[in-house]
Amino acid sequence: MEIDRKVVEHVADLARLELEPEKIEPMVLFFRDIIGHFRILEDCDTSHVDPLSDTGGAACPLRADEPSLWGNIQEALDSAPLREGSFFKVPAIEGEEGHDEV
Amino acid sequence: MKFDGLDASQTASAVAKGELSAVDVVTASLQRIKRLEPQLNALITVMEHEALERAALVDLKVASGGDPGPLAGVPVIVKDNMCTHGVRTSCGSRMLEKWVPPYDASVVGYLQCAGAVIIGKSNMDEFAMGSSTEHSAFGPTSNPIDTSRVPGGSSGGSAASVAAGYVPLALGSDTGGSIRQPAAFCGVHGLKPTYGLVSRWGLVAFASSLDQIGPFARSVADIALAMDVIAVPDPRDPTCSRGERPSFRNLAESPDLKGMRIGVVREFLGDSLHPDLRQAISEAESFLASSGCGIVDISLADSASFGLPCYYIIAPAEASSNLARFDGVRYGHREDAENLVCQYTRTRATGFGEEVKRRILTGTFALSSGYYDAYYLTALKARKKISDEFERAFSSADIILMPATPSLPFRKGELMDDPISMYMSDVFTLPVNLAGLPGMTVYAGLNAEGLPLSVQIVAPRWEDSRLINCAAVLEQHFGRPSSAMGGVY
Repeated sequence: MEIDRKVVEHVADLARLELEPEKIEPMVLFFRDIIGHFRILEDCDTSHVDPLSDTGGAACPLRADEPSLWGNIQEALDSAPLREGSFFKVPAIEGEEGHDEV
Repeated sequence: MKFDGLDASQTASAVAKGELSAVDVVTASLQRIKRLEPQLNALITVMEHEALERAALVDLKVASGGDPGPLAGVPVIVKDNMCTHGVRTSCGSRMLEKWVPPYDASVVGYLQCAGAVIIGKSNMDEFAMGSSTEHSAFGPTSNPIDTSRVPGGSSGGSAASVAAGYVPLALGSDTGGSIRQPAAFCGVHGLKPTYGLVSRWGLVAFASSLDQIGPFARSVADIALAMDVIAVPDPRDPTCSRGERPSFRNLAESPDLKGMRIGVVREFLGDSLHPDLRQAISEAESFLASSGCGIVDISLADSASFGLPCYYIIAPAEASSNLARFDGVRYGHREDAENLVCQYTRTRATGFGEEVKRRILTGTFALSSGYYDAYYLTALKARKKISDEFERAFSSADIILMPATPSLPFRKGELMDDPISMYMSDVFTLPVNLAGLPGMTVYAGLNAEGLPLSVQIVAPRWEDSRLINCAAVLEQHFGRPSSAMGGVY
């Protein structure tokens, strides 16, 4: 598989990350290095191995499904960069500059 | 009586008896911070006002005859990825530069209930991604032992704070070595508990199947004391075990290793290990043998070969998902834009630093359509093999002895342009996270240049007490790190 600008730009798009044009080439080189390193795993015989998604430590017991009140709603809302009343404010999904919508 | 040089247990005891006031202790700690911080930059936020207020409350409790708790008046520093109600929690990132959490992390609450006084939030690699504390939006931290060198990372600020004597005790988080590697570089003890032993509620997530909170200290007794306080069941964290915990402090007071089998990993002692660190392992091995332990050779071939690529697929994959929440809507940094998607992409472009972007992109790639099976799924299978390999090793050994780091602390800037070489500095610590095991860096003296040496000990899951026991024995041989070692003084 060839790692080029197109691959990095596609991945950046998936990650919702804008990459400045001058940062793309260094990222291509990093991708080539790190993916080359990942290929060491081709020597790992995983043919009869189940994937491990957790370390089997804690039992992960579920809490009782009971509603409870969060004490600091105002403080949580205060963290928002932009809000209106009790709503977070964002630009229009397909808007032009200066048209914030709630 | 003076606070300088006292450990946490001695400080708490003196405060509880009224021999020292908590306000005097905190004042002395703040003075040391003011004096050394211009050289070290170990802290992102100093909580002077809050700390003095809380210290006064501890003194009031002592004066009124109440129980001030096992950490009465002990100044403590927590890594800046643990939420503190009303105090900025930045994660070393521009993204959260001004974020003030509306709640405390569970561990912060536990410390305060035990009488501890949180005095500051420590510097760290952004979102805990790094091994040198150079990837911080707040500038790099210097190693107190030699300020031209890095303190390790990502919890470098916590390790440096303990090494410099700001505080006797600090908390860090460890996803692939972020407690044990900086402990090794700064010449202090650092414990990464078993995954699930300490609550992570209120810890900003990096890689959820690997992250764990743990203590740094200059004595094993203080590591044990901290564990007694923070390792408690927490229903708010579903991965936190509800099982019983031993008294770690009792174990530290009367260590006994007779009959224990110590497994030495010969694969990790090759040419890539600094000779002084190889010597430290050899010295630890001889002392443990003379303390009544049996020594056995064990093999961790899969960990040695596949640990690094396995970790650097799984951790970034989880990070790419966890960090998706930083979009400029609910909290943190935001860039204005003409539409919602542009707001997300620009906010993340300017809010995250270079290393975080590298990890998010690597993780997104490993999870993306067409590559998931080849990378992420294969890494999960390799992780299973690594976990099974440790389990087999523990059938012939009770504790594993191995290096914490391949090198001594490197110089600032040395690896900044070579991310993969930087990743290599976690080669001995990250297999322990992949297997969910407890691991501890134990101080092992200084080399001829005055740089710190260390060894790492690893135990089976939930057997953290064995590490406390073994570390207390090793401390009898190597001694305790002093709060006045090295160049910063």
